[in-house]
Amino acid sequence: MLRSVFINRYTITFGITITIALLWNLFVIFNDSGILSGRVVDQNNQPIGNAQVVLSEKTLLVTAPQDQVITDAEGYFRFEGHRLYHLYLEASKDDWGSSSSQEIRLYFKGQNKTLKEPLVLEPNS
Amino acid sequence: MNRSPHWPFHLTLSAICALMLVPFIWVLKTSLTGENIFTYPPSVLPQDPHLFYYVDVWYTIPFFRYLINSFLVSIIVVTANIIFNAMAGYALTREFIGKRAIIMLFLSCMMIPFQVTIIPAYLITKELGLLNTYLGMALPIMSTIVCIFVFKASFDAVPKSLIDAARIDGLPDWKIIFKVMVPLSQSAIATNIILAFIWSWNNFLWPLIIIRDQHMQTLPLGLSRFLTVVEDTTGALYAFCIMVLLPGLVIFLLAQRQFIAGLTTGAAKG
Repeated sequence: MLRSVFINRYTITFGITITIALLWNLFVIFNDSGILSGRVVDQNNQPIGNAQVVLSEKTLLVTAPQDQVITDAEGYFRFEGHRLYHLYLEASKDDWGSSSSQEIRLYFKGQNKTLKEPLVLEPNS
Repeated sequence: MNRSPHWPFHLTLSAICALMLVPFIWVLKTSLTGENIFTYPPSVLPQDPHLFYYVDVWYTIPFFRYLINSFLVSIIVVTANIIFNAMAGYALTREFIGKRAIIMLFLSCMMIPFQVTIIPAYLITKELGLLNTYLGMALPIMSTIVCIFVFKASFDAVPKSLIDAARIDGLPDWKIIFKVMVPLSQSAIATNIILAFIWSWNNFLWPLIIIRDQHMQTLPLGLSRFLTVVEDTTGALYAFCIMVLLPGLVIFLLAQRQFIAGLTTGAAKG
């Protein structure tokens, strides 16, 4: 009797749904610090230090810059505390050049992410 | 005995099923890829699928709020439908003067589209002070004639002797309905749940008219609002459609056996 009450397709379906939702929310709680890190390199894959990396949000009409950081000597950069889920990164260095705008899509606002591919600076023409 | 093989029949049915599923697969595929529907050559399998359009839907509009609103209204509608339709269905199984006239009235009312009665419905809702409320959204579909007849058909199949026995035991009519008839009509309940849920879930026109507060909107209203917010709608729009469809689909799949039984109850009654 008790078995048929708790083990039927309704409880199993809704139970699995609730479990997945809970696990997903736990994952979000532990991974939403808004840390976005990556690297800036030149076309020969050499790190570019002191480059400016701009994080932008694209709205309906314009691309609005939200934050910017400077890369270290090894070309690494790191943003913290952003609350975006669809953003754009662009790197530039005055005497060097700039990268193309890279679209980043996240599964939730402020998801921590390390870019697999570096931003590649192309020399000014 | 020469029995013809079943496989040609099953093969034909499978082909027809696959054909019927094409629009759903198309919607699902587009929601995962954002691929334009006019892309040529069309592909069956999604290329580079991702779930980011679902994320766009979740954050572009207050999706969770709309989801909760839709669920609350649907719960009110489903509960009211089971209670009111069971009572009305039971009444129609009893003999009384004017029963045929009432049944004819019900059947003729089914032919009147909701759009015709929308102004009186609005005025009544306004007089009751239910504009911009969950109860107001549920009010016009809290009892539906089709579902009343589903309960009637199911109650007609219950032996009269059982009702007589309950009456001899001293049960009042409302207890006969909810303690004797309803527990014996699981398929009718499932049919009521599915139909009422889907009608409530997909209801667009009535909430559009009586809801003024943005936070009271339901998912179909959210869909229309979403179209005004998002620039490139292809993938996100289809993702929204999948997110709206999914709860109704799950409920139908869970209760489809009882649903089909409910629709066919009394069909073979002579």
